[in-house]
Amino acid sequence: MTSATPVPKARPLSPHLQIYKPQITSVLSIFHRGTGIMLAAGMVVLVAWLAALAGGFDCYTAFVGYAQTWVGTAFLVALSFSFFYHLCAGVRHLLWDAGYFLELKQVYTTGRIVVLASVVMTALLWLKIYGVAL
Amino acid sequence: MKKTGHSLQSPLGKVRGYGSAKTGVAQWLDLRLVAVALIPLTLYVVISFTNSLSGGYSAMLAWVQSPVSATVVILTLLAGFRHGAAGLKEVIEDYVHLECAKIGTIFVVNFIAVALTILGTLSVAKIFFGV
Repeated sequence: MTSATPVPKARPLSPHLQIYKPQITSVLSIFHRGTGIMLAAGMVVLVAWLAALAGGFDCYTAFVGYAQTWVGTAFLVALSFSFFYHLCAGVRHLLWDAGYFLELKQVYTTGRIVVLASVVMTALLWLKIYGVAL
Repeated sequence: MKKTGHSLQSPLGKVRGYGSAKTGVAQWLDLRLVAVALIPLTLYVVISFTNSLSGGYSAMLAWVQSPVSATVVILTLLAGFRHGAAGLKEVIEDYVHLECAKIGTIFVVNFIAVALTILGTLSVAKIFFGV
């Protein structure tokens, strides 16, 4: 006969990210979240920079020293891309919330524009920082 | 069977009280309104920061000492940490399912956001007043 203590059966879960084929819609959505998390880290770095500047010349020089290591520079490049991407994709989200560009074709087009614009803006920023252009 | 009005919520759902907290729209709107404010604020910070960068320490001090820049930086700290904490809250709610861990993590994120907003604002104030 049946057992006295019923063992709860593991319920099937809905398929998650790794099941689906990556599409521009889902990938850009994940990017929006990822860059948002990156920008939260960037806010911490902004405060660290302000605190270093308030701490005087030696303190500021030490901060700049960390920023100019290859790890620091790589982080700042990723941070600047995250900023421009999240900015452009954020505007896209606000337009969606207002009811614009919700047709699938428009979603693809605006998605490509967002990626292109954020890459171009990041490149321009770093050309400016290294004094090559602008 | 006794009828319990026209509610579609199950009796168990009612007892647990996990229904709408009636504050969702305000949170949704807040995240977006602050996001709109962040567009000009962050663009100003990034562009004017980059313009002063080549001047080094003294140019950066002068940048924060300008009343307009100091105001925009403080507004960016307020709006940025508010938007950031609200965004991280959504992420945490999606991935942390244990109720006490979820509430605890959101509390810690909000606490850090407020603490760093104060630290950043006081740093701007110190530079601005040239102490």
